[in-house]
Formats: sequence, C-alpha cells, structure tokens
Amino acid sequence: MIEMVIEQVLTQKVDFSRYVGQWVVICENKVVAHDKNLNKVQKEIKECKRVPTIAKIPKKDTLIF
Amino acid sequence: MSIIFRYEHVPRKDGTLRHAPFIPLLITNKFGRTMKIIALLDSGADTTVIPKDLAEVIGLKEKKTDSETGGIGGKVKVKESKLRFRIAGNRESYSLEVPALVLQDADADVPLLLGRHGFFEQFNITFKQNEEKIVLKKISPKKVY
Repeated sequence: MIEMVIEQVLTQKVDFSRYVGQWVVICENKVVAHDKNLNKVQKEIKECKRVPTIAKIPKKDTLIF
Repeated sequence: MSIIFRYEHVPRKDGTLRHAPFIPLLITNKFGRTMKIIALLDSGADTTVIPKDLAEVIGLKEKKTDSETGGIGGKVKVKESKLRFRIAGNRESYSLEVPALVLQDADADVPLLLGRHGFFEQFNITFKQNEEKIVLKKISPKKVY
C-alpha cells in the first residue's frame, strides 16, 4: 500500500529562524504576520482567504511542565 | 487506516533545525473562522496546554477558578477548559474534544502542547523517530454485546 504522508507545514523555503519566540501566520504559503502576542495579528488571520496556518516558534528546545 | 505526519523542522535562533513531532490541528473559533494550528504532540504531558493568547483568539471558555499545574519546571497558574479540534489526513478526518489547561502567564514561550488525556486514548500512536514520522491509527470503539 502507498503510504500517504502529510508533509511539513513549515516549509524550508522560508527562513523561520527570524521569528524565534514569536507566532507566525502563514496564508497561501506566505508569512503574512508575526508577533510575540497572537492577539496582535488577528486582523491578518481574519483577512486570509484560505485556512491560515498558525505556529509558535519556541525559543527553547525543551518544554517542561 | 492511518494518518501519517512528517516531523516539522522548527528553527532555532542559530539557524539550526529542531526536528520534532508537531502536527496540524484544525480549530474553529467562536466567529466560525477555521485555523490550522501547529501543536507539539507531547507524550510527556498529562493534559493539553494552551497559551493564553491562543485561547483568546480561539475564544475558549475557561473555568473562573485558577488552578495550578506543575512538573520539573515548577508550578504555573492555569484555568481549565476544553479544546475542540479536527485532525485530518488525506482520506480520513476526526473531530475530538479534549480537556485542556489555559496558561495564565501571557508571556509563556510555549506552542500548543497536545497532551495525553482525551487524545492518546483515541489513537494508537507511533513515533518513528528515525523516519521522522508520527503515525496515528484510530482505535475503534469497543463493541458492547
């Protein structure tokens, strides 16, 4: 059977390292907004004509609770 | 049937990449806006943890009373809630609701952490670290005779 894999959302065509510690909003394969507080990019989330992708790029490697 | 996700390559500040089991969740907010949120599948977390600003954007209802959760990193203030989302593959899709804790510290540097309660009971989950893949196989409900 052919394995159907869902590929990465964070494409390596974009340098996300500049957004470390921030939320990024991706609309139609482009970063349309980024901020430390997601509330500040609500306008761009609303205006995206497709389903926007939202990712937090954490500063730390280990997330402990 | 299974849903297979490739690990995300999340950048560090020095430009190197951290390969980790992040998966996309489809979440619809109170205004009907659907968003694809990238969540870290965290087998070490009992419960799903949601950053405060994300909870606000989704419009999650929180219980009024504060509680605390903690681990090796110390204690943090949280409020209890529930998170509804859909997880979709190429041929199948599942809607789920899981218990969640909303972090009250607005400056917490964490993504959405998808913990075990409510999620790991629903799927057989395989972390293929060497292949950088996560395999989710839905568990059929037990038949009662």
